[in-house]
Amino acid sequence: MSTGPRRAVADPQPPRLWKPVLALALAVLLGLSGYTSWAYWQDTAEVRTGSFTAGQLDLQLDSGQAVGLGTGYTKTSIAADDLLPAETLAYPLTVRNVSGAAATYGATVQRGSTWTYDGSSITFRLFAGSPDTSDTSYPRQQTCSGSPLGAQTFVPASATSVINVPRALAPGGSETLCVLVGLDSASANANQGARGTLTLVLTSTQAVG
Amino acid sequence: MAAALAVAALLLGLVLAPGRTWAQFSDTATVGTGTFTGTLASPAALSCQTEGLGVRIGWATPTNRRFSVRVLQTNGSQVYDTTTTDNSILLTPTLLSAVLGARYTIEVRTTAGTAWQSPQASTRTFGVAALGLWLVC
Repeated sequence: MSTGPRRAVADPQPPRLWKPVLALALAVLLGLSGYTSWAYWQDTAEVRTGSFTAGQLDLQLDSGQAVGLGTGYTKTSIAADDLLPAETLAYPLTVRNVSGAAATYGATVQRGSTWTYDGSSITFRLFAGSPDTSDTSYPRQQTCSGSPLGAQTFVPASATSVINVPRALAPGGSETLCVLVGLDSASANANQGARGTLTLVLTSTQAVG
Repeated sequence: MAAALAVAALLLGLVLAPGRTWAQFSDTATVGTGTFTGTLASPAALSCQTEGLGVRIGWATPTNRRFSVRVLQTNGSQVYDTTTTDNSILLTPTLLSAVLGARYTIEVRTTAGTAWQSPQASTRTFGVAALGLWLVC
């Protein structure tokens, strides 16, 4: 047995696998991502809801007055046809939050559409309380129970706040206010026979948080 | 460290005290009032009756008010004025420095506050008799 000269034999190289692996991955990808098409069943389920109606933050006054947004009413019982200097008259006003949300409210007062008094005659003040109208003889000095919500002011030509700190009203809650209207003792004689109406604007805002 | 604390405080503040804003519903309810007015009524028609040497001038209404009283001579000059909360006043010759034959007019107005007076005055005339010693209606 002859032995030839030995040739150096190179170490076997590892097979180049990347091509088949790539092809396999591509196939899997195509298979999964639908390049393969086949029939399939499907279903659609639809849910219909009831309606969503936006709530209203409605501030109502007295017994079902000022119903709805931005409404008002004339409370003719807040009036006097025989008001004289140094007299004050008290009137009740109920504020009701008929919405489902907590709210706060404030108020402004200003002269109404009729006004012939000077600026230093008719006074206004708001209380969280009830009127005491037992004093009916001149000079009538009626009062309000409870605490004043703001300072006494002469009724101004433009809206002026009469509640220093906004009042909180729970959903469905109400509060009795007392409106105190007076004629200043120093009112000038020229105001005799003058006429005036007042406009009280209460604005409620949904409480935050 | 301080910066980290500041950031933490800011974040906490945003969560607790909302820089978050959302719409809030609101409503406005307006109350209009009736009319406030007033005028002072004049005293009711004046009555006159003698009382001693003088005359008592009275009026029935209004009650519980303050009244301004003036006594004028026929030439219009004022000889006496006062205010009272009574519904009558006694005038005497001495009070008016009365002289025989003189005639006087009493004017009574209702007053209120510091400035209001009834637009109309109620008046009554009386005179002086018997040597200026008596007043007569």
